[in-house]
Amino acid sequence: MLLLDKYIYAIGQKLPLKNRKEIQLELESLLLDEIEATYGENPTEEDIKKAITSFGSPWKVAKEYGNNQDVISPGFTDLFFIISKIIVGALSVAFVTIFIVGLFTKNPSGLELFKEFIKVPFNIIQASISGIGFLTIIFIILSRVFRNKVIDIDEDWTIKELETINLSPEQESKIEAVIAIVLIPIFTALIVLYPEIIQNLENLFEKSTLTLGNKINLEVFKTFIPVFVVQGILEVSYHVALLKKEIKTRSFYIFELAIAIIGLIVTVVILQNKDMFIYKNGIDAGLFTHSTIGFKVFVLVGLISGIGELISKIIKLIKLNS
Amino acid sequence: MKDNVIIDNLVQELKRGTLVLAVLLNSSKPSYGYSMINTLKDLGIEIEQNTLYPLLRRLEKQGLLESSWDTTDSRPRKYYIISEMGKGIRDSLYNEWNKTNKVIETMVVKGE
Repeated sequence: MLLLDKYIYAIGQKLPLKNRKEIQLELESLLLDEIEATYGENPTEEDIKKAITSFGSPWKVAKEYGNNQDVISPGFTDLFFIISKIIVGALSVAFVTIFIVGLFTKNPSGLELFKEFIKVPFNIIQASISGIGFLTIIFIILSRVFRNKVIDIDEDWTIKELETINLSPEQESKIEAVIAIVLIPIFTALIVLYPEIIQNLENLFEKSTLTLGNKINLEVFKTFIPVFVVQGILEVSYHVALLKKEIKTRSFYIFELAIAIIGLIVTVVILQNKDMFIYKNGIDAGLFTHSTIGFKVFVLVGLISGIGELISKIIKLIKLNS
Repeated sequence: MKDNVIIDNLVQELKRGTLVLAVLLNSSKPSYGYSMINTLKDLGIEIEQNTLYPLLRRLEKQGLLESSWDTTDSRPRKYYIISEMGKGIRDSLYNEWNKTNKVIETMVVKGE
C-alpha cells in the first residue's frame, strides 16, 4: 500500500500543521474502508489507484479540510477594496500634481515634456502595486488574526438615517463627486506647493499685450493658504462621504450648506482685504471698472455664484424640512 | 442544457442546506465516516466523501458531535456520535425545517 501512504503524505503536505497527523490517520482509515468495501480485502495496485482517483487530488482533499482559508477573509473584503481605491486615487492625484508643478518649475519642452507625461501613468501603476501589495499583507495578517470578524462599513447606520433621505427621481452624480475628489486636491496642492502659479498666469495674460487692472499680492495671498487647505479638505470629505453613502441625507445638506457659507465668508474677506490686490497706478477705481480686471474678477465671480449656490442650498434644506 | 445546469446547481444548494441536519439526525449511534456515507446513501442522500468527512470534523469542532477512536480492530476507526449540545441544535434545526416545509407546502397548494 505504498501508493496509499504516498497519497496520504501528499495530502498532509497541504494541510495545516495543526491536527495534520489526526486528519491523515482518519483519511487513511476511511480510504481503507472504501477500498475494502469496493475491492475486497486484497485489492490490487490498480484498485488502489482507482480508489485514490475517485477520492480526488491531494489538493482538493486538503482544501476541504482547510477551514476556508481565504487569503483575505470575506468579512474584510469590502474594506480592502475601498482602501485600495483610495490608494490608487490618492497616488493618481499626487503624481498628477507633481507633474503639473514640474511643468511650472522645470519648464520642460519637446521630448522632455513627453517623457515627463509618460512617466505619470507608470509611476501611478508602480506605486499602486506597492501600496496595494503592502495593504494586502496587512489584510492577510488581519484575516489570520481576526478570522471570523466582519467589518461592517455601515456599522454606525441607524434607521433614523432613512427619515432624512430626500426621495427624488434624480440620482446624486458620482461623476461630479469623483471629479471633485480628484481636482480639488490637485488645485489645493498646487496652491500650497507653488502659489507663484497665479503670478505666472498673470504674466502669461500680460504677454497678450492686454493690461491687468490688478495683480495679486502674493505675500497676503499666502496667509490665506491654510484656509484654502481647510476648505479643500472639507469639500473632499463631503464628496468622499457622499460617494460612499450614495444617498443625500439631511446631514449632507447641512454639511454642504456649511461649506458654502465658509466659502462665501472667505470670498468676502478676500474682496474686503485692501492689501490683497495691487492696483495699476495704485488706485482702486471701483468694482465695475478696469481695476477689477485680474484675479479680483475671479473672486467676484466666485462671490456671485457662491451667493446663488447658498440660496439654492437653503431652499433645498427648507423643502426637506417641510 | 443551460436549464439543467441551473437546476443541478440549485438542487445542490438546496441539499447543502439540509446536510448538517441529515448528519445530526443520523448520529444518534456511533458511526464512522464510511458507514455514515452508506447509511445516508441508503436513505437517498448522495454525499461525496470529500464533503462528509471534513463536515464531520467541523461539526466536532463546533461541539455538535463527539468522537472517539476504536483501536480494537486491526484498523483504527474514528467514530462520531451526537453530543448533548448537538441534540439541542438538531431539534431546533428540525423544527425550523418543519416550519419551512409547511410554509412551502402552503405555497404549493395556493399556487395550484
